[in-house]
Amino acid sequence: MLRSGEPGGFAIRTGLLERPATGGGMTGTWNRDSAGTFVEALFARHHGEIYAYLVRMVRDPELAADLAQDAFVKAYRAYDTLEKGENARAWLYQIAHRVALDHIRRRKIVRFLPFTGESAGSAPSAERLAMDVLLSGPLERAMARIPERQRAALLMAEVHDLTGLELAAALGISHVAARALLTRARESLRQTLADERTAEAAAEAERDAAYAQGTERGR
Amino acid sequence: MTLPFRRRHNDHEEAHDRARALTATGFLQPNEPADADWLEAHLAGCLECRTDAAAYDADRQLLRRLREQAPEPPRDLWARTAAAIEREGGRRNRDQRPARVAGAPRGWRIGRVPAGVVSGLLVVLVVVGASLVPRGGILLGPTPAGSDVGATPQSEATPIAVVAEALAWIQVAEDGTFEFRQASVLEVCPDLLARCAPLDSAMTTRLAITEPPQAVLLSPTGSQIVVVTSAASAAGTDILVVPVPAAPSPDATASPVSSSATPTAPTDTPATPTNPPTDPPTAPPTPSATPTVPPETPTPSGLPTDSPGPSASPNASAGYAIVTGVIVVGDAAYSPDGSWLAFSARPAFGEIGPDLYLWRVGDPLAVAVTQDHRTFFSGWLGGQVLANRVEPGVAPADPSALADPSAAPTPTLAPTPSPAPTPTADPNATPGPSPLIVEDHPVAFLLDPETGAATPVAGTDIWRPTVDPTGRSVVYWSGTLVPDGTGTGWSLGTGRLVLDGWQDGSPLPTDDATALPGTTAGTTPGTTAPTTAPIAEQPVATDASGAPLVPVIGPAGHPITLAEGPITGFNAWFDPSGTRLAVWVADPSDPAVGELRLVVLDPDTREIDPTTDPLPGVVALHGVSISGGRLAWVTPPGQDGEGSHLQILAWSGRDFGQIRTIQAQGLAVVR
Repeated sequence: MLRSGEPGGFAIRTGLLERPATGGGMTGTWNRDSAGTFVEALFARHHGEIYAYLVRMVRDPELAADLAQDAFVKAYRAYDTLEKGENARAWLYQIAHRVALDHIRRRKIVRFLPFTGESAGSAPSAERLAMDVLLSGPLERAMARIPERQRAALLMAEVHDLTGLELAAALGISHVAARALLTRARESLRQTLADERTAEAAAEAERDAAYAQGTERGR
Repeated sequence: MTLPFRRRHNDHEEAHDRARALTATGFLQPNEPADADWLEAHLAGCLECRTDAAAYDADRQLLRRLREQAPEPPRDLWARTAAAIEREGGRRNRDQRPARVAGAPRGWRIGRVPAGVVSGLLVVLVVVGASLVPRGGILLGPTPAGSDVGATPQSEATPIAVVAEALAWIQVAEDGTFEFRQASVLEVCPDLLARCAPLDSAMTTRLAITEPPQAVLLSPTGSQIVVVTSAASAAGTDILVVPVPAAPSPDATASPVSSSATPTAPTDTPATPTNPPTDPPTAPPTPSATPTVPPETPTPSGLPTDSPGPSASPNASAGYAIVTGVIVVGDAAYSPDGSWLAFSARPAFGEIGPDLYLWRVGDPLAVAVTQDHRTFFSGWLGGQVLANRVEPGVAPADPSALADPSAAPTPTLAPTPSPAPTPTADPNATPGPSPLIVEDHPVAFLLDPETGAATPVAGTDIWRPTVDPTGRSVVYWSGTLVPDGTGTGWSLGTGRLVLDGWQDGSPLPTDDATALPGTTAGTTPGTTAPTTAPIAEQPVATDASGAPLVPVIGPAGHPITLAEGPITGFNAWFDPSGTRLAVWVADPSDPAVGELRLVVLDPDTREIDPTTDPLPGVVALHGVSISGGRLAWVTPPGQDGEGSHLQILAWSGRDFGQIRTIQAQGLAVVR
């Protein structure tokens, strides 16, 4: 049974995250209490990194929170499909990855206009502004431009420290394919980042030129 | 045999690629000793690869610095996740729970719930309730997975009883053929996570097709289905008519329907009547020249003698083809009374565009009623066909042509009594193709299938209008088209997908055979007007107050944007009440998949009801069925790691809920 407040204390203390099968999980049958306890522990341990991963995948903090919630609900629902407790982290990343890709795919299709003015025109929150700053550097812009699967591979490998096997499991591909994907991702990032830096330098030069022109006119 | 050290022309590139790959993967885990040695030796002699390796390492350090700037999750993330999980657990437990033991107190489960859970949920309820109330109350629609907080009060919601029209679909049977199934939707769950039991169904007939059809339609009378076979076939598409058994029956009664009696495709020319009506937009038929197929119409050349040609009545127990060897363009649809089927198609071979086809139910063949190769079926408006014709645009390189009214793209339209909407001038319109591309302009018209009389729809750049059955609203692409490069079709150009009011005036008098688009039409009953003046120059008869005397047929001119581009394809369907609108927009990279949304319209004003958004946008395959009380679509395989389902959103008043079928292969909803 889930508790409100801070999650995970009991499960982590008793090591249930590593051995979740108490009447469910690895036995292949779903049990509400075991699933709840397990996901509670999973949340306590990994919600921060899962949220951070999703923020960088979808570049929208509010949406990332929704997707993180969705990922944990899916983990709860699919608790009985986890074969080994020690794979829980990669398994959770796999769920979050699919949730993110599903959303990105939907978003790519079309942008339906909102029918209400609820969100349009409202001032962004301070948190949103801080997050925008966080997501606006050349690296973040370059990451946003590379293909989603490559972005996911780089984030999981470099920011979230998944091992090669965990990366493969999280992406749902073979180890060899994961390595190949990561190689392509590094090359894409290298080229895209170079483009971003070139564009930034050009913009900087343009600003300098405009400033110089303005100063000249002032004289 | 290949010598081990023989150099090949691309060895140099391969070595660089290998060095890059080893450098990249070496960050993930150490390379094998042999690979590491090779890489070290290669880098020592390759400046380019050393530069790449240094760049990879620098990028990697940048990436790893992101760890120090981890975004902070919202503080209520656990509360909302716990509430969603608790709700999900309640549903699953309810599904698994054995029947209650007689005599057990009804409220015992509540007493066993820990106080922490109850208090946690209460906190969530209060917070969420406070945030929802000022916005007009809690929405009744199903809550998307990403916003479960507001759905907490429905955690143990009971299914909603609905009165929805029966549903039909096809799916692959065990033997690889397709079976036609039907079901009634009696109840749905307010939240999909509640997982109502899968919809129960009965198979009524089996189709002898092996490829997923392009579309399947059920006649309004329910007595027959029309199968538009796969567009992937090299021989083109056939349209088969298959009788449906009167009463749904279990699998044992299913009788395979053979398509072996399908007549072979006509050569280059689709089925054409002996005395085909002329193209309505350019060369109208006389009133007596109806576009229907007279029973005595001779068999088109190329049909085998044993085919179900006009001289043979269709075999009631087997499917038969009403057209073969064509490419069906867009949707086909029955008229509301079920007496006609309309579609547009072009020959499978050859480079000509589509024409409008009509099939009177019971006739042996469908008939092309236009021959301009640029007419598209759009839908039905009562007993009339709503169709489009594409008018060539003018090259933007010649500005004088645009300035000359006589060279405007729509001079052939019949006069209209009011200025037409000009969506392309809309500053909000989606940026279109390069100015070097000539954009063409669609015009719309109504065609009476019984008489062949055509009536122009006011305005230009109205593409694929769908008018609601009550005749008050219309959805259309407000914009231009561009040739798609095949010489046979067009893609969407500059514009947007809009919802507008529909001015459902009485059709202009058509007893004069020339009262057709491109010729002469009366501006008032009993009068005629010059034929070639552009719309803007037409004299408009008005009353003393200046209001037009003649009812206008067409969009009201107050469009609301539904979706903006880049849009590569779309479809829109209204329910019979005209207050539920399903809009599907194609994925630019995969035209078979798109995003589906249900828009609720106010019954009185027909404006979008912003407080009810029961289906904010789901991924759906092309082909949707909307009818009284329900909307059905097929989910693409791979969503949440699952196969395809037929998903149904049904409603009763302002209550919405969903249900779905079990997973199946080759699912396609029958419209």
